[in-house]
Amino acid sequence: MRRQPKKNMTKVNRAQKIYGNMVKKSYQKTILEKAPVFPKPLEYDDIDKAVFDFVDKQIDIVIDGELIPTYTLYSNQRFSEYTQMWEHSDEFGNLYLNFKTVNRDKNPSFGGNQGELWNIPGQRKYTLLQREVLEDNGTESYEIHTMKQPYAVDLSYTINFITTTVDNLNQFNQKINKLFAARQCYIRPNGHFIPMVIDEISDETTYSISDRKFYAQAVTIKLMAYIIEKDDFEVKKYPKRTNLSLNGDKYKKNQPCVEIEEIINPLKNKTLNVNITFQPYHNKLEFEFDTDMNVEKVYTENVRNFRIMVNDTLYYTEKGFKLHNEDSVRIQIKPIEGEQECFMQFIGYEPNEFYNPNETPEKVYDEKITHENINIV
Amino acid sequence: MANSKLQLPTKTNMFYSEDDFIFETEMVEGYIEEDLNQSVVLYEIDRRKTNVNAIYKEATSGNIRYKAPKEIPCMYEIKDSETKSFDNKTSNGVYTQDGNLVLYVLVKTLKKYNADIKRGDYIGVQIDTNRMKYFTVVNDGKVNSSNTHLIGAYKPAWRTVECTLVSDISEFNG
Repeated sequence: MRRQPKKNMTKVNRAQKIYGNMVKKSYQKTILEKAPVFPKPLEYDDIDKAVFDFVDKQIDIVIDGELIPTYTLYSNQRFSEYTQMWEHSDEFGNLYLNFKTVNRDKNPSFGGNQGELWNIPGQRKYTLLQREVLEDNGTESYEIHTMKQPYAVDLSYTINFITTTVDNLNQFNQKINKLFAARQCYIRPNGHFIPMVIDEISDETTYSISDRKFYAQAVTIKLMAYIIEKDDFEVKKYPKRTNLSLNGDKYKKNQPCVEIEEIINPLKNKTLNVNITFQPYHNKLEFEFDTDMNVEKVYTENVRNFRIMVNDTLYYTEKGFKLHNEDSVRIQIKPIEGEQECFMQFIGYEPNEFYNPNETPEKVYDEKITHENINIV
Repeated sequence: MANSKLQLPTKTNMFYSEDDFIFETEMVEGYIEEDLNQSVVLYEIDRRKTNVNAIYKEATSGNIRYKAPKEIPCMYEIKDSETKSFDNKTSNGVYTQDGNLVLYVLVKTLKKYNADIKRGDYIGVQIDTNRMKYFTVVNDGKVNSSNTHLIGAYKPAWRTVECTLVSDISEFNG
């Protein structure tokens, strides 16, 4: 029986699934992918609205199959009150009972959100983000996002519940106690988590023999908020590169003239060449140097690579090196052709001896030596 | 009184007798029913049939059971209305409520209509042709032994019943 060749196919995983810690990291990327750079502003009216929503939606009381209404008493203006209550009042404009109200003390105090620390040094703006952006004209800029530090305030809210029966009152109290079971309860105005704690639950009922009877329960809540104003944010752009160009007219009078004076030292160093010849089948050499020399370049013939040790220290010769008087130099080479001579040349200069090429002494023996070859075999 | 062993004081019998009392009471009754023409509607609560909350013994509008409403001739007074607020701290949540209702009703009239006003009963007062106000009795006036309730210093003839506005339409709405 003839057998088919074994199929050997590598399946390409197009989905490119990620596993392990990469999954955790991907959550972070996903969350921050479209995240705005700045947090949203958080001001008093945002918090007031969030508290109203909290009372209306979270403390939802249903009586006789109907959700009881919530009114805001933030404003002292009579019209503010009437506009809310018109729909829920009798023909004389009096509210039907069983309702909630929200009110805020108009004297917000210094806040305890940051542990009551006075940690805001003036009106400084702090950098949140710096990123590169491409401008319309093709240049790149740095976009720097800054904002001021939010300041903390404590706000005191009073939630009133007006009702006719103890049964309804129980419902209300149970909701409140449950919401604040962990001491604090959070609201999220504009995405900021703001904690609230109960300050006091008081009975505001007027007890009287010959008067209309209803219950009035008041819950005072301390809300530890911070305020971010709309003007606290700032985005500034700084060009990544500054192209400074001067278009001057050279025929114009008062044209700025820049002259660069170059000082040229006329003296030159005495050049030195150290010629080292390795006999066939020799690859090591050791000698004591008897002058100072700055080696600029090493020239080789029939040498694959070499190693230079000066005073038992390995020297790298690519960018030149310095030799001093009485230095012990040890060289080891690897020849290309072992049966032939190898040649190595240090090209450099003597740092302590100068001569002026433009100067010609009167006497021959006063002439300076400009170059010297040192041969080592 | 026929079966009672107690006798009314006889010191005034020479000047004011039971006949005088009946005569004067009938005169007042005639004045209220024919001249004054004021009346209220009494919603006497049937205490046995009314369903109340098992724990708090509260009743809501739908659970209260009444005896047949009775129109009781009487003399009444509604005090001036008052403006109050639900939020004592800020005086917001303003409402205006009627003043209390005070009824002056003859004991004879209540007997005639086979009615009794008890604390907790509801009283309806026709304010105009299509509007009625409901009050709840806070003082049924059964303790009427004060001098002001006597006729001819002989015996009490009427009751002063004090009522206050019902808390809400959810409590009582006719």
